[in-house]
Amino acid sequence: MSADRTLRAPNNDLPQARLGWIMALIQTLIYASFVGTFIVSPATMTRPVASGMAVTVATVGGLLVILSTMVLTGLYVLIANRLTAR
Amino acid sequence: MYRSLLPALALAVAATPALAADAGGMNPAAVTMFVAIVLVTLGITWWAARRASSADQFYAAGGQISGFQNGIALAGDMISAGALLGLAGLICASGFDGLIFAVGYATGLPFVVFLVAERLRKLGRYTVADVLSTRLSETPIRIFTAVATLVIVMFYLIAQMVGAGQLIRLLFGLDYLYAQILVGALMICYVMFGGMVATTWVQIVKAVLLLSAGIAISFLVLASFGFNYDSLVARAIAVHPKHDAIMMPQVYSGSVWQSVSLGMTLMLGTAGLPHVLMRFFTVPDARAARVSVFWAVMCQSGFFALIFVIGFGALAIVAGDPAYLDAKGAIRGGGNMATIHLSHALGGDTLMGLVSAVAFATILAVVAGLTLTGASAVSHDLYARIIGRRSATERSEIRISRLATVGLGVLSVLLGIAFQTQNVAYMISLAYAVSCSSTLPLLILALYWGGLTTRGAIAGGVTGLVGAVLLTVLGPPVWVKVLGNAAPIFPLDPPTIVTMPVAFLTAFVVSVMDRRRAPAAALSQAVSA
Repeated sequence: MSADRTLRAPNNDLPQARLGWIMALIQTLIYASFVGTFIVSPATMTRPVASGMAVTVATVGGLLVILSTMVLTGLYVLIANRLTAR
Repeated sequence: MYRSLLPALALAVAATPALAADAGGMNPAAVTMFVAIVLVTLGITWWAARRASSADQFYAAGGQISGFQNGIALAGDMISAGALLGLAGLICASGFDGLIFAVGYATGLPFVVFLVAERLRKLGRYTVADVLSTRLSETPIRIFTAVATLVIVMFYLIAQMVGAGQLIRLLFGLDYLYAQILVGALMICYVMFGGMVATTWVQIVKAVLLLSAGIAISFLVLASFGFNYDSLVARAIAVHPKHDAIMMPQVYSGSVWQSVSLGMTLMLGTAGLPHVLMRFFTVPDARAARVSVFWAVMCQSGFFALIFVIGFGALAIVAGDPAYLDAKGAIRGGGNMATIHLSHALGGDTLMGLVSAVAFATILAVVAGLTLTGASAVSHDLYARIIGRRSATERSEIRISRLATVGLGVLSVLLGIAFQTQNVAYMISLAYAVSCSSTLPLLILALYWGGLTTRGAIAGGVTGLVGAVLLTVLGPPVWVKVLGNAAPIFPLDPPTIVTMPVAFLTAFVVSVMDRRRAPAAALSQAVSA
């Protein structure tokens, strides 16, 4: 394997590299709290959002997780475009 | 889109024996739309074929797909017939489970934009191996990446072909064998003559149709409940024999490790799927790659949000109507038909015909994308860069890619026929597990850790690949559901929570040992920002 070219990690110093990791962490935390609440306290997730309603906390929570994917991606693209425009 | 097939295929396959007597009849709207879709996609292929003469055109559409167009095509890759039909079927059968998959799949694409899309575009030309070999020794890394790509693509393709054959037989009353040959012939035609240009446009047409159908069905479902989502959910709970219990997902009834492993796989699997990654080479630059994932996330997440309406709609309207149930009270034709019946209940034969045809277009677009990715691994990575390194010309490389397309197409038809009566649901689990445990760790380490060596990459990748396959075979999906043993040797399905960390760790440890033995000779920058 003498052909190995050992290089520094490419692109690590791009301004949006750090932003990407931060966004990935936020996304993981949001999704993990959805899955985690189901594991730790299923009763919380299956409770109605308001008394007398059929829609559960998990239904609203799931939709919010999906919404978060759109918001975070939108934010990332917006900020990264600004950073790289300079 | 592919991940959505996991539940869909399980249902499609489970439903098979009951279907024979219930094969759908011809419906004029369906046949008209079906013929229109075939003609339009062949027209696109003919138009693309006049341009697809260079390797750049064939693999990456000349880098001339705009960020918006690529985003729509990418969304098309993510939302399959499984998302439209399978998730709604799963919600009809067991309630919230379908929504767990919808939420999990939706979180996959953002990771692609945050961590890999731009860097891939910056470093690569046609395939993931191009990116990895900018830093690592080319021959071993290409062989490994091509093998991992082919493993993922073949498992995926077989699962798609078997699901497609059963679906087409149900939707159009076409014999399974003819359905296989029809899908195989069309997909070979798109890829061989139109390359990435045709594959992308077929995917765009399908994504627009699928989104429109999803929005129309959701609107009609909500309209029939006076635009009150709560009364829709209340009706769904009332209709299902388990009532309130359906709001607790069954997939979380196992161990904590099981739930976490499934969550990880749904979230991270997308970022290692070669046919998804290959899409980023079709756009002009890193910025367009970023923009394309933005549009893809908007479409894909929007669609998964619609599943919250369509799924409960199918349960409330179809599962509560004896006209759509068989003698045992199950959905006629199996769970995959729930959305089709729903469209019939909402808009009669016309809407049902349209939705059936959209499902068919979805299958075609997905198998075409997979075949192109597999063919690229053979012709670009294995042939042009290794076997024929000295003699390959652009002409011979394109010839090989076309031969590989025909080869993969014929092979997938044969395997589709061979696996007709088998339970193939595990193949999607396997593709996802291999993606999470093999291609993803390699890609992340290569993009972000300068210490990765070739030996470390190969050791980590092989460990992840072999581990994922082995533990899937010893786990519930194959050991119990296919081989019929009472208890699995390895309890988790998917095995990601074990195999992914092991792959990362192996790559890390071997790289560190490797470098200690032979200290880095030269340090330089791979890419100037």
